[in-house]
Formats: sequence, C-alpha cells, structure tokens
Amino acid sequence: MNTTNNTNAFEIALLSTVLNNDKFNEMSKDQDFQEYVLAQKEIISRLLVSGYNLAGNSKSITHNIEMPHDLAEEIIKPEPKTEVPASSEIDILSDVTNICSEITGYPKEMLEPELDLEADLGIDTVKQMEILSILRDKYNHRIEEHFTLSETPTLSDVTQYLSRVH
Amino acid sequence: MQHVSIISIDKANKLIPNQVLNSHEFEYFNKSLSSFRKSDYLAGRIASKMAFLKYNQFADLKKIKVLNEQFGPHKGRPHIYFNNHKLGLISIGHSGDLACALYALDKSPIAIDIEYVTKRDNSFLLYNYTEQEINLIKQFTGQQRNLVITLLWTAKESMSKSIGKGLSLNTKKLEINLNQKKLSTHLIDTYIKIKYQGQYTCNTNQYFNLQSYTTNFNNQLYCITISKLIPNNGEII
Repeated sequence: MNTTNNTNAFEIALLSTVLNNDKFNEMSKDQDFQEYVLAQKEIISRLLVSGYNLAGNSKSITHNIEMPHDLAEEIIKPEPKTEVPASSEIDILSDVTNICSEITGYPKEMLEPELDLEADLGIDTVKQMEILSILRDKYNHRIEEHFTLSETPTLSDVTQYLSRVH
Repeated sequence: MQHVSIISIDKANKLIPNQVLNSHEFEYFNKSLSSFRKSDYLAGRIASKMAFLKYNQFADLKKIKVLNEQFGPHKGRPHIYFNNHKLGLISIGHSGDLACALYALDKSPIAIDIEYVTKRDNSFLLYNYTEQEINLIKQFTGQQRNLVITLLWTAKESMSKSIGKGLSLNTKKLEINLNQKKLSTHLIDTYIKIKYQGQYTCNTNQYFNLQSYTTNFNNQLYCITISKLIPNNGEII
C-alpha cells in the first residue's frame, strides 16, 4: 500500500469537504486560518481541474470550439514590475502606513503608497504634520531647515524622505 | 487574485449554446429567458467561463457552472462551481455589444461593471450623483463629460454589486473620491486607466478600491470599472 498516496488522498478528501462546508468557513473567523484554508483551496482547485478529480476525469473541449476574442488582455494590462526596494525601506513604509492608519482611522489597505495624501485621501495638512511628527520622533529624524510638506505628498514620498536620513 | 474576460455579445451568440452551457444552464436558456435576454445570458455565461479558464485552463466548459448563492451573507451572488465544488465568486456585466465577467478565487467582495458612453439627461445627474461628483463632472465638456458621467456610474454600480446590493442602494450614498486634477492626469482624449477610491456612506462606512478603464469597440466607447471592498480590520464583510 502506498502510504504517501493514501495520505495525500485522505488530505485531499478532507479538504474537498472544506470546500463545500460553508458553515465551517463561516466559523473560521481567524485571519491566519482563513489564509491557510484559502491556500489549500487554491491547491485543491488546481488539482480538481487538472485531472486529479475526485468525481472523475476532466478534459478540455475548448480546443474544438472557437471562443470569441477576449478583449480583457488589451484593456486591462498588468502593471509593469517595479524594483523591490531595500528591506529597510519596506519596513519604513510599513511604519508610515501603520501610523497613518492610526491617526486617520483609514484601513491600511486603503493607504496605497502612491496616492496623494490630501488630493486622494483627504488627509489635511494638520494631520499630515502630525503623522510626520510621530515618524520623525520614532526615527530620531531632525527637521531639515528647508523642509516643506510639498516634498512628501504621498506615503511613498514620506518613506523615501525618512529613508534618506535614517 | 482575479481574472477578467470581455467579449462581444454578437460573437458569443454565434456559438452553439449547448456546446458551452451545461444541461441546467441550457434548460434555463431555452425555457425561461425572453429572446431579448437570451443573448446577454449566453454571452455572460461564456465570459464567466473564459475568465475561469484563465485560472484553470484545463477545465471542461460544460462542467463549469455559474450558480447564485442560496444562503448566507452572499445570498444571490453568483459563484463558479466546477464538478459541484464552489471555486470562487463571479461578477457579470453587459452593455451594448460587450459582456464582461470577473472571476475571483477568494471571498473578497469584488465586482465588475461595464457601460457604453453616451449623453445622459441632466436629471440623471441630479438624482444619482452627489454635489461633489456633479462639480467634478462640470469640469469636463463634450464626450469627456459623457465619459466621466459613465465612469462614475460604473464605479457606483460595481461598488453596489460587490456588496451584493445591485441597484437597491441609494446611488448618492455611493460616492467616488476622485478630484479633477487626478482625473485629468489620467484622461487622455477619451482614454482612461485609473485607480481611485469610493465609499458607501452607511452606519459603518465601507470603502472600496476602484479601477476604471475605457475601450473603443465597433466605434462605441465603453467604460469598465472593477470594485473591491476594503475589509475593515481584516474582517471580510
């Protein structure tokens, strides 16, 4: 008996019930567990449609059907890949986002780095100064003599500003 | 993670329905729909399956089902089922000659809307747009103004669809946070690709990330918006 195959089959059978068990999913309020289940669902769904099918084999018949041209590829182009910043800048951005979220009450997911703090997020100059003050204090950052708020219109700009002298 | 498909309704209706619909969908298509609705339904189903196929390219078309949730917080919202396993959310839109579908694997409330751009009566603005939005619209003229009106409308409708409310919400409570400066920066003639936010003003305000695009198809301009609800404190609403 192939123990590995049986173990995999058991795990897959167990997880396939998870896919259909709405009550189980509703009860899973824990964020970490939600992410774990989602990761398993992704694996299972790929297995189900690639041939490892608990209800029988699947096969594609789209090759025999001339599907209409999909315009989405031309309209919704993926964003170009940007260079991943050094880890310290990522940590600073995380700090900046957290503090901005605390002060404004906005959820972190809303605070995209390239959004204009005032124009896009409605964060007035007083709040921006408050956020910067907290961050400067945290990073022992001295105010540069000629600093103006216009130098940091976005969270990304705030991050780069702090990174310059961190 | 999401996948989008946008297709011509006319081209989709050149396919043979029972080649792409499963038995339940085909029965519904034949018996329950008016001839007017048949073409939209078939195109919407094909777009949904094509969006799903971008995620799982080996799937059998007829084994992919789009069914509305029967119970729970997502009641009424369509989901993708494959071999009787629920595998994610689907959102469908139609306008003019285009049908679109968005497939999302996870449970995040997300939706898509598409509308063709045309001139609307002033009363349409007065009843459906906030003062802030009307002031924004007034900054533009001609076809650009028509486009902005349509863009804001698709944003409102996609936000509403993403939380499962369709058009049952007061559209003035679905407000778009977008200023003239940013909009002008991203609007070149009648082409736009832009990310911004929206808000549903209710007891606990709900915020959305929005992405809008335009496309010209068969000499008709369309606007497409994808809306994703931002969870509060990590909780999926």
